[in-house]
Amino acid sequence: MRSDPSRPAMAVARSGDDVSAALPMHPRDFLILLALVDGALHGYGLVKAIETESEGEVLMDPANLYRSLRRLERDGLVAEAAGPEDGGESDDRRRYYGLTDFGRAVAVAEAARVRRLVRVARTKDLLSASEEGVS
Amino acid sequence: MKAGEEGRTAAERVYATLLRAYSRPFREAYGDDAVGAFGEVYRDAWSSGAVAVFRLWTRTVRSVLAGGLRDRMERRREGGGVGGRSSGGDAARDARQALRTVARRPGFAFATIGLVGLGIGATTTICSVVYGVLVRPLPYPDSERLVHMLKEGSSVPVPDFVDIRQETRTLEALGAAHTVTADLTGSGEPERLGLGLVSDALFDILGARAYRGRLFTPAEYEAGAERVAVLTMGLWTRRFGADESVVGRTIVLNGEPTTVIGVVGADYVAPEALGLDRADVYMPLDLARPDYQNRFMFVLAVVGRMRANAGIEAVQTDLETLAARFRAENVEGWTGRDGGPRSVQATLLRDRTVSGTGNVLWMFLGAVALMLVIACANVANLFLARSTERTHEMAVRAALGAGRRRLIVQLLTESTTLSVAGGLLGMVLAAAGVRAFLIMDPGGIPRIAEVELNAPVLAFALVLSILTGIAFGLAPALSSAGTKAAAAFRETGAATTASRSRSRMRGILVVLQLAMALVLLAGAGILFNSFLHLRGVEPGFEPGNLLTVQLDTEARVPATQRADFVHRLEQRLAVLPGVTAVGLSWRLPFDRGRCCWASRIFDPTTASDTIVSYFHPVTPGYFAALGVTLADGRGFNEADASVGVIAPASAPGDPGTGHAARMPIIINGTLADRFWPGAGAVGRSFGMPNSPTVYEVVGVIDGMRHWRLDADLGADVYLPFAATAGWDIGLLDVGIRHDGRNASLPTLVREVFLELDDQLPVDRIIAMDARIAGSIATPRFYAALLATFAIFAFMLAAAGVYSSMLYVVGLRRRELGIRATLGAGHDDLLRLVVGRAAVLVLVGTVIGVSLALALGRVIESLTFGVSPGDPATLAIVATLLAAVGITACWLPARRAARADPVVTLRAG
Repeated sequence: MRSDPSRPAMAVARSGDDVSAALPMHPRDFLILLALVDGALHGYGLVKAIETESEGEVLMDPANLYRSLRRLERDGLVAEAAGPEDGGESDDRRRYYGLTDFGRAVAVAEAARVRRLVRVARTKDLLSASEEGVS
Repeated sequence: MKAGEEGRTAAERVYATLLRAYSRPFREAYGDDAVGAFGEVYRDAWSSGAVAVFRLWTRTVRSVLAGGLRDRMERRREGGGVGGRSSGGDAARDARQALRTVARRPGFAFATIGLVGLGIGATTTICSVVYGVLVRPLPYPDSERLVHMLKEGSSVPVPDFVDIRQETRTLEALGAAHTVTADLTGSGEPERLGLGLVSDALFDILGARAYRGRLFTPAEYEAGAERVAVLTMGLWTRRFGADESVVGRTIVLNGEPTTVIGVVGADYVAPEALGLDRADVYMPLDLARPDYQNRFMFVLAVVGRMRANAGIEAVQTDLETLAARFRAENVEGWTGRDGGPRSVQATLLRDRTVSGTGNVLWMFLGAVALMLVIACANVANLFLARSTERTHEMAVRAALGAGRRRLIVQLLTESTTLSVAGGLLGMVLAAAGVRAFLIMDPGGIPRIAEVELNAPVLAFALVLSILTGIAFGLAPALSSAGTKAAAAFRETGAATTASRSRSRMRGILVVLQLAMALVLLAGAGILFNSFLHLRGVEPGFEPGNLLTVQLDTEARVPATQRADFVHRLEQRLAVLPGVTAVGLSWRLPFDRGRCCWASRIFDPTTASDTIVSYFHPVTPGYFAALGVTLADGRGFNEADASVGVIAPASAPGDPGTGHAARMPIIINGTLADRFWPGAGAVGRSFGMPNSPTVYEVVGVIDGMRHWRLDADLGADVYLPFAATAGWDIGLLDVGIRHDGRNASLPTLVREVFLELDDQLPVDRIIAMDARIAGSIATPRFYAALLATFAIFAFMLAAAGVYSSMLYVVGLRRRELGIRATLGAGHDDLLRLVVGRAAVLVLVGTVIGVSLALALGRVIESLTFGVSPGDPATLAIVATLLAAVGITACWLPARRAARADPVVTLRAG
């Protein structure tokens, strides 16, 4: 199957084995995936969610955000999604983005990778109890 | 292109324009979404104020330009081409063409680059200052959540700090500092240091880290812990030569051995709002110290970090609630003598730090922006003149098939090439400008140490120079490219539609330049006028022929011997040739340091509230030395010295022995009017909370200023110097009145001090005149800076108007020649030309005056004794500018009118 040349490259990338190929992620990309874990968001929603998640550290310019989304979409990590169902209130002019299954798998793998690193840092006593929350 | 474009706000439209940095496919796919999202981000920023909007813009411009570049690079790598058009090749061709054209006319290029460089240089310099002081967050973690606290405008008493720290619900951490002085002895020269006593949470709140060694541990804040100190970077390098082995060594501070445990980080900036910028060394603050347990002793500078979800209003409400509870529980110090409430006020630390400076800096930013506009108008003039010369060239290009769009792009490429070159020059000038600003600033601007020319400001300068190029290139480009080829070929010097539209453009530029220059001149005139008023304020004493000597005797003269030392000192100085009177206090007027102490006092015969008054201990010769005559009552005499010592007002209840029951004092008229308006003050008395001493008024003086010439007079109390004998304060400031005929007096004075104690550090021997001049150095600096900008703007505007008129008259030469042959006299022609120009000058002047009036509010806080719309100043400035404007028109007009019509017509 895999060797079938007619199959698009992206589908190959989607297979579970290749999650590791997407690692490590750029921190901003990871923040975008994290923001989408709870559900689909539109551009402004993402800007705000990233600002909150990063405790105000990362303030993304919308155009830059869409540039990242374009790349993530191309790599199959995110996809356009339906907006939240709130009785037709949702603004149909806005484009919503959600995680694909592959994107979710990559986010999990990246989180696990970061956790391993933090564990190492902790054994070296780099993070005191008070600093852990900040770092 | 899309439905979403209608109804966009101005900010969204600007953002949509910026997005042109991205490739067209990207914009088509995501442009509307990005603009929509930006609109919402912008609304958020708008609701949090001008600084947030400014920051959003600088961040956005940088980010969009960088992102656009990456987008285009990504597309190129993917082989998608740029934007789907061949504009890449066009752009390169335009740039080459631009360089060729520029090289052909170096004079023109130099003039443009110089003008733009000047404008951008000034703007970038001031932007750096604005950015460093106002925009950039304070250099502490979560700096937006830091608040500063004052109790009734003063520092916070220690017990109150402890209570608030325990009870607050809106602050997650609270730290405090008390900056005092300490003598460093033992190795090398003895030195007086600033000692910052800091509470346990303070370094954590400020994010300070140790550069060498460590900071304090919790155990070291406990009473009775070993004495430990942390050095500042400054002291460590200056005094110890950055010697690593100092950490762990013992030094002697205030006579006691103290272990140095660390050096605080190089990136740590001591907060000015807490007074810690005066500290050279830090030690733990022991909140349980017995002499701190006084709710009337206002000692602590307090900073707190708000909880993530709390705002400054919530903190203030929290503090008010606490104050009300403390009042209900009858905790001391939360109720005024008249029963009124006392409370603690919270301000954002950044607002406290830069308070009052915002206005000044925004005003300067406005001033340089106006200057930039005038410089642009001048360059636009040059471009207009050039576009006339190049009408033929453009017509040829158009005839050869270049579209209107291509021509405009070509002209804009030329103008932006020059303006970016000007921008680069401007950045170089700004580097020098920032350095000059830092040198000239007399110390009135907070956070000035953090000012530097950095990446965000340079990015802003670059964007500004590109926008500038578009601004002055666009108008001529449009009018040139719009010329019909046929009309251009026909044009032979007679006024055609195209040149008429250009001369209209010139008219607008003349009006613009005059109006802007007038606004700047008016501002500078008013600040200058206000400075003259300030300088004319009477200090309330005679500053001429008054020599002052400041010193600190604490390290050399024991407290018990200080009265004797002062006596001997005065006797020796009094007999020097030329000296007429000698008197001293802790600090004489117009010193930036401490002068006195503040206490609340009250009139025991009424239930009125307490008044904060400033207490000055003075020797009997003080008033004679300063040249102050008493308005009522008597001065101090030697007998007053024996009434006894008062306990420091700030010390705890125990009065101690040798304590005076009645203290003779002299007060100023301000205090007399507040307690006993219209009635004589001599013979009356007042009291002080926590003190049994009765203060008896024996004399009254009129308005003597101690701090600043522009401040209202405070309530001052003078008491005999001897009443502070034994206090642990060794400050002395000696006033020596002389007849002005003994030039060697300063040398003689120094010798007297050397004879008394050759180890005594005599800080400064300086004339009182100089001290007063120093106190108004900041307003003088502001006035001078604005005047510099205004003079530049004025000269640029005058040159601009002159060259415009030269050109307009040149266009009409033929017409004037015809009129002359038809019998118009010299004066008729002059009137004809000057008359039209005079209308422009008048319009420019009127617009300028209205703008100056409207903008007066901006400088209101900087004026003194002059209204920001002062009619006299405005009239002078308007007349001056109109006169220069008319002259600039008249000179070329006269030449044209004198010319021989025959010659003129042949030449045409």
